[in-house]
Amino acid sequence: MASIEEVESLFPALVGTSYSEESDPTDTYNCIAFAFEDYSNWWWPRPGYGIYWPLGFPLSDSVDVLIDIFKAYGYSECDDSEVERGFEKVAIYSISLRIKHAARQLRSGRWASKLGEEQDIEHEKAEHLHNSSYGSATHFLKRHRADWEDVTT
Amino acid sequence: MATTSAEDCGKRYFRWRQKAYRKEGEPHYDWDSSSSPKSPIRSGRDAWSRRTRLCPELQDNIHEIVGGFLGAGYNTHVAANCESLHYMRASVADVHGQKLFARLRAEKLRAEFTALATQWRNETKFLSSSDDKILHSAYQSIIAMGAAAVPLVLEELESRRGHWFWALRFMTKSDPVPEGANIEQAREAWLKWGRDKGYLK
Repeated sequence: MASIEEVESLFPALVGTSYSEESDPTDTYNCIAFAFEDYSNWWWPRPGYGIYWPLGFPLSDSVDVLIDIFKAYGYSECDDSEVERGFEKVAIYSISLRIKHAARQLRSGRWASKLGEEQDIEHEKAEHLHNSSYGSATHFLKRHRADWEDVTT
Repeated sequence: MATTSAEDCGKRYFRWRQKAYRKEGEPHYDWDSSSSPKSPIRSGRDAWSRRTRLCPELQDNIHEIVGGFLGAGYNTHVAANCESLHYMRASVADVHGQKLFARLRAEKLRAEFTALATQWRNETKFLSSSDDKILHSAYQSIIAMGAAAVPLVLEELESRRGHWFWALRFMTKSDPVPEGANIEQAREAWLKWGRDKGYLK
């Protein structure tokens, strides 16, 4: 498992924030799968090497493709990562509009991310994972969660 | 005196052995006693060693190739027809010999492979982008090692996991991964392939 020093070295914005490790490392699923709550597949548009990509979507790492996949799962685009009562949000991180990472917001308003082949973490804000590898959270989507209507922040 | 590479030694050894076996009426020498000074296989082997100036690593292993591999598992066949036994053992020697040479070639690459694999793992373990993983320079360098490094990649896959499926497909020109397989199934398929091919125990 990556050490705290490694994590904070790669994600300096996490330093001094309340983040937590939530799983052991695994190369079975990645951040995109995690955003869809799929813990059995590594999602990437290169199927055929043990990799999963939803059928019917272009084999491209363009952000637009991932947005379309999220829409197929009931999400719609929104402006930011702020907590909205009754909505679950996801963030897409990109560099030059190429997908680099995805994270999803939890009922608590915190964010959850799978760090590559390493562990899942919970972090306070989506922007705490901005770095040179993940780029920045450039696109946000949300979907209604009736069971989150009672959430107050 | 200059020595030849393990690969060249291997090729010469097989050429020599195949020629030797084609001779009709050759005595049915006992492979398991090839260490005997009077053994035809030993005298032939020694003559070949002198001619080809065996590289040290192959010299260390030649006895294993010729005799040791043909030990315990095949002694039960001693009572069988001598001629059949002879050809069966020749065939077995061929398979095991090829495995040994594959291993010798891989061992020469081990230090370089280990350094590259470590670099790749450390520099890509936080990445979700499979493109960024496989386009990493260390990963590409390992692919460029070619078939000789396949046993090392399989060992790495077995012991440390990792997404080596692209590399293996390019290095082996094979793809044992069934359509629709996930990472776990792809890993199992490659490890089974490696065991079937004799690259893994």
